[in-house]
Amino acid sequence: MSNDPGAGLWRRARAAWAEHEDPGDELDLLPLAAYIDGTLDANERERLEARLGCSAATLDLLVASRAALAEPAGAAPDGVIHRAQALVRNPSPRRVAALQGRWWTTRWVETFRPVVWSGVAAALALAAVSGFELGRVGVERLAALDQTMTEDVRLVMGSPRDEIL
Amino acid sequence: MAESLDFKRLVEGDKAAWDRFVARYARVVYAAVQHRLLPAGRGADVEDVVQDVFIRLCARDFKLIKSYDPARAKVTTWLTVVATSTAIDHLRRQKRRTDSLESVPEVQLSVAPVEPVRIKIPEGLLSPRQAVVLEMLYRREMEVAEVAATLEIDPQTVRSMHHKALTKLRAHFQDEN
Repeated sequence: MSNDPGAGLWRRARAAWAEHEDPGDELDLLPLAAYIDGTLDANERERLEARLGCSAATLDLLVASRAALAEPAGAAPDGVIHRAQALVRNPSPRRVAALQGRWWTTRWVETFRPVVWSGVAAALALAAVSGFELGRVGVERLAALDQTMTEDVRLVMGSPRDEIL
Repeated sequence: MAESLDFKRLVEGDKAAWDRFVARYARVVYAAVQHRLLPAGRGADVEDVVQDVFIRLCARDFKLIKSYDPARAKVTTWLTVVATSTAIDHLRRQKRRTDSLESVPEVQLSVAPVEPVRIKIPEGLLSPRQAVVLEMLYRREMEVAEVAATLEIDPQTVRSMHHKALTKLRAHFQDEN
């Protein structure tokens, strides 16, 4: 800082008010980029400027980024490009197969999605009709059985004991 | 934004999309890293830090790239901020590893990154912009024109803010005394 009286005053203020920045208070870089591009609204801009005014590291990042953008970028060496490209590899055959499997499953589901609900409705209707039929047949059989048993009892009651034995 | 890019395929881990992305924007990342490291005498670290930037971009299933929104900022601006931030972090780590600051040349100290310090300005004393103006003028020793360009305001506004901020500071410290 220079020997300007204003500089001395600001130095005194900084010394009095400085505290360690919380390392967990990480800056979101996109709003800073938006600030540089002038796309922040008034509220966002004011919030960011409040941070710039109290965080030396954020202000340094802004000034350094603006300065870097002001200079034309030359080409990067081929080695740098190839090294960075190698960070993402082609998927392994197993991964490709898994992805294709997933693709077929997705495709199958998408193709048959429109008929799924009508299929469910048809299955429910079939289950209801079958249940009703089974119930009706069951009741008829029970009634028939009941009638047979009643007649058997009547026969037994009408016969002498010796004949039965 | 003119810089159309297939972000969907990129964040899905598509190798061809990643290769195109790197080929297209490596120069932006390289320039930003170089711009920060060369004046600090760390030119030898440029390639490693560029690699760190790309690792950061694809780490945790491309989390950082997924956070990018083309409607808010240009890709080049955003990548420059990411690259500059990575370079500053690198310098900060190097600075911590340095045993004695006396062994570091003066010219390198002048561009060394600041330690993460937050200034807690008393409520209502200075506006955010006034604090930014004082920081730029006094800690970073920037010219009024540079401050004006960075904040995209008129130089006369910078002078006026500077004057008002100093008046408030004087009054504050006089009261304290």
